[in-house]
Amino acid sequence: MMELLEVKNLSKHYKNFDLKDISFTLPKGYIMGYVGANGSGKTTTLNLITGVLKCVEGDVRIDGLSREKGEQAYKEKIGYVGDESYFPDHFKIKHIRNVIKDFYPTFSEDKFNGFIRNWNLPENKLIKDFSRGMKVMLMFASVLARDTKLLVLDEATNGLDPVMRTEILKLLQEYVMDGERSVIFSTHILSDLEQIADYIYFIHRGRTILYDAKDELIENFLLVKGESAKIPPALKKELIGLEEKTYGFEAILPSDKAELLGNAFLFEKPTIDQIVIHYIKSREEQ
Amino acid sequence: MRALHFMKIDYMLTRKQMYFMPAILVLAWVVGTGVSKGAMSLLVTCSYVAFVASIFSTAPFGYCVRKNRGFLLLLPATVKERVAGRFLYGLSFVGLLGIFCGILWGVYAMMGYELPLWTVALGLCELAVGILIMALEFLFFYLFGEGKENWQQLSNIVRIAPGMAMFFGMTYFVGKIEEIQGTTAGGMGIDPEVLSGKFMQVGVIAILAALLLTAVAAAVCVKVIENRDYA
Repeated sequence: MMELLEVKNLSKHYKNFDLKDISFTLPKGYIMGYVGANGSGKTTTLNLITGVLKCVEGDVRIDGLSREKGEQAYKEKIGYVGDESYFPDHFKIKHIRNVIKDFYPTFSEDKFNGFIRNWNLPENKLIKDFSRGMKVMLMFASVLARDTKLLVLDEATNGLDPVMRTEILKLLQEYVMDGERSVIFSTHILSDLEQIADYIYFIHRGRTILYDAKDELIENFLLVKGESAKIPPALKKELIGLEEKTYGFEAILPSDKAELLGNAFLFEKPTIDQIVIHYIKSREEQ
Repeated sequence: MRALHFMKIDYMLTRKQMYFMPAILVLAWVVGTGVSKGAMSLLVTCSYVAFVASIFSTAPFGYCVRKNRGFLLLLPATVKERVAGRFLYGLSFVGLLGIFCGILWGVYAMMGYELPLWTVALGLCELAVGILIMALEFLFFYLFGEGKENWQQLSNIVRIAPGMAMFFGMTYFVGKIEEIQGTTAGGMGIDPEVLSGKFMQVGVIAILAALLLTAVAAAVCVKVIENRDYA
């Protein structure tokens, strides 16, 4: 598989937070979900990829090109949609169009205008008067109207209504359909990832916890439920994120330890949501 | 080329202030004529214009709060081009106001006012000081304040104080010149035309020096930002 995004040993040090040795690759034509709790380092990683943050330790390449080798070409390959609008509040759509036209040779005005019309974005309103949904759609219009290779989404679907979220997820699937472009997507809404992500990268407190193809990840774990009192010590050691509930316990167990379960417990395939929640719980207990 | 595009963005960011410019320029002329007459009033007008330029040319820094800066940082360009664009905006803004002063000078000349060469030279020096103040303010904002949202008062002082000091300094200076006018050159036996010629040289050199220092300030800003976390 041809890799579109290669991240190697990416680290960033702050006074109260360290991002440590983040490494992954994302092949062309795939979508990666980049997940983790608040403050886990998702935005820092994405800012390092987009070049908004200076990358001192580690290496990021998009389609084989690093930022140091060609800043303009590198940035032209990226389309970024954030959790809040980065457009100046008192700009109107015409100003955005103007700027993008100046900076991106591949920008298609017709395509941009098409998005604006289809999504009913008001031409004469200031961006500050747009709803959150409108701002997100404008960011999408501005990146989809030009030729990008990597779409970087940082919590872009948070706070959007289900109709709009569904529309965005459809857009992302269309985006990668030609097998030449990829998406890295950080979100709190893990059900979105269930639908569209091919890979999951799970980060906690700046460290990698899990990184695998989504289907593998779901195959590799079991969601176990049962009576707490019946858990044998050998099993207890292997359970991840053991959570006591009124009716018993719930935890995640690596599939290759399934023989420890015997007949006393219920188990099923977990969702990404459940894997992540139990992992976060186990890390916080440590 | 991309630097010019960044300059254009700054004009778009600050477009609202442009609507007020005609009124401000009329005000500058009124202030000048209120303080003095003829060439002296032009000097006061020009110092007021330089004062306005020093405030308004820094306006893009106020619009580029951290949230919006992402927009500029994501654009495919180098730090050098981004900073150059901002300085071009400042220089072109001061330059446009300088052209206004030049036009005013021409209008006064056509109206038959006596405009000694040394007043023109002093006008050029005012323009040079205006450029220098702008460059120092840009340096300050890039070094200490780009994108900071919580120090509005300090940034307002930085934007207003130097230009204001120049304006009141020039108003005081014009008063002094009027007091000693007619005695300085003639009384001391110096040929006023020779003195004017020297003044013109000083005026041109002042402009060139201000431009050179602006280029140095821009280079320092590029170095600082290249080493900053937010690239």
